[in-house]
Amino acid sequence: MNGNAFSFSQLGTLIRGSAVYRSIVRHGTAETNRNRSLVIFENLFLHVHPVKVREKTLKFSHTYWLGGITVSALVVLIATGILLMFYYHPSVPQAYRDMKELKFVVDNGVFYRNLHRWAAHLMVLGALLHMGRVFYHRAYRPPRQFNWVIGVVLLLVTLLLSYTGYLLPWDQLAFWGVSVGTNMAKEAPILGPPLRFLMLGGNIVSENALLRFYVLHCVLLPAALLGFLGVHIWRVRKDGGVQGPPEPPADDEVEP
Amino acid sequence: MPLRRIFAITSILFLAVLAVSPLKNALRPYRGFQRAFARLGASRAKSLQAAKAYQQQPVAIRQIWLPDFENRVDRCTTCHLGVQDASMAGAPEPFRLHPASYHTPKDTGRFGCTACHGGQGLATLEKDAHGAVADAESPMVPLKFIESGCGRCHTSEQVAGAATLSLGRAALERNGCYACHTVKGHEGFRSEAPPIEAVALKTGAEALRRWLKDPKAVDPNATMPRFQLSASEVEELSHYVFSLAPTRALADRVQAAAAEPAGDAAKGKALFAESRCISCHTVEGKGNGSAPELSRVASRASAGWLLAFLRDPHAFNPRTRMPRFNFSADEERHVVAYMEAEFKDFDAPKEILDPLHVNQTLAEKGKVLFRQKGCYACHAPGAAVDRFGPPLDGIGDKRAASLDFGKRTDIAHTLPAWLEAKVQKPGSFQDGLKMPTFTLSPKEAQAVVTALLSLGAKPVPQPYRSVPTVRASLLPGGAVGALMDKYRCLSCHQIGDRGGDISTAPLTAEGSKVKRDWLVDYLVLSFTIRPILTDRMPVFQMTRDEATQLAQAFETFYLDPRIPEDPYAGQPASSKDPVEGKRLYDTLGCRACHILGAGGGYYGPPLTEAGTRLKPGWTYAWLKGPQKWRADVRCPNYGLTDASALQLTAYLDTLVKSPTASKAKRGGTR
Amino acid sequence: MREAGEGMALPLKSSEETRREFLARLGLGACALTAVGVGLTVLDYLEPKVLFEPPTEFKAGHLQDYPEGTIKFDEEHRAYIVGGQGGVFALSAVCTHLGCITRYHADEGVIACPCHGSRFDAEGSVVHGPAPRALPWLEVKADTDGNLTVDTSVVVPHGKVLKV
Repeated sequence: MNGNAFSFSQLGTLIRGSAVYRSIVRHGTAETNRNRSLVIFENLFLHVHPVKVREKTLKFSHTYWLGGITVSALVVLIATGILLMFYYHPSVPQAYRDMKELKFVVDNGVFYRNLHRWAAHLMVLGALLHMGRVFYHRAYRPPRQFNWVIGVVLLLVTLLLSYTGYLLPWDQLAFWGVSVGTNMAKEAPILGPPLRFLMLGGNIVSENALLRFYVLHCVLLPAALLGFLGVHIWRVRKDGGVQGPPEPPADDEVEP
Repeated sequence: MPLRRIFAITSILFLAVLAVSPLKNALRPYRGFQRAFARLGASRAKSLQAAKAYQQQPVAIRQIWLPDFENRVDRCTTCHLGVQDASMAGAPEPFRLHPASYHTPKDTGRFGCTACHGGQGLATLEKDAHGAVADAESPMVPLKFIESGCGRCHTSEQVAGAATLSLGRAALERNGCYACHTVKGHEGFRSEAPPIEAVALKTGAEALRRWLKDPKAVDPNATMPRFQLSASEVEELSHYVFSLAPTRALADRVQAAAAEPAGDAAKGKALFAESRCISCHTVEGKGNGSAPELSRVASRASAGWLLAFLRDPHAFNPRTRMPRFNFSADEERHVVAYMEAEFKDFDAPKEILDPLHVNQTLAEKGKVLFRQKGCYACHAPGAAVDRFGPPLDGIGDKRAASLDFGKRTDIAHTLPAWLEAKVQKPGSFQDGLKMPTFTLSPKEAQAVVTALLSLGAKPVPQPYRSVPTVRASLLPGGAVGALMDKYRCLSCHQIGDRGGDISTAPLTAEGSKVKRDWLVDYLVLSFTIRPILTDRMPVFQMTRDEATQLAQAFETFYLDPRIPEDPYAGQPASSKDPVEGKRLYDTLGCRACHILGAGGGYYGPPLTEAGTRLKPGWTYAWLKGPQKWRADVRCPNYGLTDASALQLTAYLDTLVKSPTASKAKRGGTR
Repeated sequence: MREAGEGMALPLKSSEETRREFLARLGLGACALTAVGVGLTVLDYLEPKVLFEPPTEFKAGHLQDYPEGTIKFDEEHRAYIVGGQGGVFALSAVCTHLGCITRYHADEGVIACPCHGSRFDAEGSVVHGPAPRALPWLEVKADTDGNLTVDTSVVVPHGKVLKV
């Protein structure tokens, strides 16, 4: 055990000392506050993260980790979604056939498809609960009012993603789900009918609609989501970090 | 702080959960089947090399991909590994060799599996593939109805080799299904049921009541179904039928016929047998059964009607299949006298043929009923082009979930089970349904369901469609057409894809086959051509003029371009060495089946007068390959060279009957 | 996610606490195994298990269709069937340079590639560059009646003629 631990930490040191690691993480290994800040500052992927957070904000009871769960679901969705795209053809007889191929031929196809599906449900659920949590913790009040609006936009984009993905298997559920949904959109005054026409690329749910929903689901909406998500997380940090349950004493959670 | 503990436990759980899918994947059932097949194949292999070949087959999904056939992908062979492997005859399923049939094994790569068997070709799991999951798109067709698969591509009425399907399609036609249900290709169907206006002339009130109650109880050959009528409904309909006024001309004919003196029953009996009435009718069950049973007909139809009908059936029912016989007036009376004497129901009450005193109120109700029950679809088809039954096109692809099983909780929730119950007992699903009961035997029901299942929602792609080689060829009009209509040739013979199935001799190429003079003789007085078959061609008492006219028309219309007009190419037959032909006849063993002169077998047609009957072109074409003309024929294909076939043809051509023998035999013609 | 982040830093921080360290390493090990497993599974997922490609084996007529000196180009299957001295052989029509489809020029008796000008003789040998190798010979089989099948997926040694 001990010998193993030795080599384990030796391996860590070896990696940290390598030229590749050092060209990615351009700072020393010393556990100093300065170094910790540099890790965040000098990395594109981490720099939206604050350098320091209060330990209590990490507690489960503080935020119930709802935002984090939602983001994790998104990561799973992107990973599995890309995998599914390798086998999916957005064309009318083939789309449903590809579902069968995933089930009957592709190794682990059902697993990735189901993972995508359940992660999608989790993401919608997580986003809704997150919103509720923010509401009950009065976290929508200034200075966070702008981020609340961003959050609402994110929820809408999430729902649209969920909805556009629903058509892609091209089964009976999908077909009628989208028929009903787009007819609801049509009922909107003035804008409704042209919106439905644009969305479906025609008057009926056909191959055009499938292709449009595919592009929305795989390109436009994810791009929008990632953009807004960046702003959202950035605002969380700029607005003073996550706000948990409001406490009677004035809040001083932030360290610059 | 148990954070590390939570971390360790969740990570391990995470690992376990993620391991489930690859594990399930490694245990896919087809892998097990393929390993079992390799073991089985190796144990059955004749050589070490063959055994090795089985063991070296990789475990992988096998598929037949048919881009031109609806882009079908059939992965059945992933588990059914032995379907094309001759050494797997009799092996346990799923490895057994497919039994040889018309399209297997040679066409497996062209048609795949699901084209005939149904099921989900894409699936690699047994339940999904066989359609044993809830609301499967295309569950497998039970083997009992497997010929429905033939019918998806072969759309003609008769499909060689698919007896059940052909029987089913014939039953759909015969039972008049097309009168109420639309089916593509049968839009022009008209029932041959008699127009009801003339029924009052034919029958009596009690006879009609009995008929309406259950037609098949009165006449087992009846095509009219049972309508589950209550006693009062029977009464109302009877009053309606008797309230209708027949045309004056018909009424006069029946009246005049009734007044005629009775004929000689003994002579009538001879005529009845000579005319071969039971080629279509039955008498106490003996006969063909495509026309009414006659043993009790005199208690169903008045003597006057019988005589008038026999004289001119087409005046009473323009769509009847009954031909018009050229009897003299005396002969007609003899036949009817025989029927009146013999074909009576002696248990029936005396007043069975008495007419009904019409009650107008009841008749009015009957009129409504006549419409409600849909009687008009068959009995007044001119007026009713609206086919009120649901269309049957695409019924073979209906999903079980879209069917109404009603009260039938006793049957499986599948389309074939539903159809089988429906065609046998339509009323059992729900009360008050319009569809009547057809009293089908289990075999007929199976055939009808097979034919129904063959009606797919979409036609198969063009290259897979089998079109009958000869389409409905010209049916001549004018005088010849009238003659063919008078004698109703198409009731029994096929011409192109039209006509009945009673005769085994289609007329499509008759003009290329037989000599005109022989045909004239045959039409005037027909006799059996094959000694082992009974006579079936009715003797119509056709005049020689009519026969000549028909024979001439046949020689003009009914030709097959594949049969040469003159195989000798302008030279006399004797130039082709008939002597060598005779030697061939003897050495090939033709004698085993054909009578020639004094000896020979009984299986084939006699050849004693082959030269009188057959055109040399036909003889030649036949000898070059009998199976080309009739798939099921037993005459072997000897693979004769052109020269040998010509020699044999020339020899058979010399076999003509002597003039004296002919006179003796045909003395009775008029 | 956060647990993982914190666990990652643990072994360095508290190496003296064996129990904590063990749990952390257990968790990390499971994570690493999962990552490797996911990687392998994804690779497995991406490997196509069925192919929708035309069969490599095709029927190429009858032995008698190829007297000596005939070259038939089968465009669909990208192969030449050649009647050579004493038998029949098949050549791939795919240029060995960069994979363009060559053509046979009967007037000159050469197989030429339109892309970069490689030329081959009727037996597939390079006449001049840039093709680095001769055209591969493909397997030709005949059944008892003399009907030929060619398999483009099986390469046979240069000079292996199917004897008539």
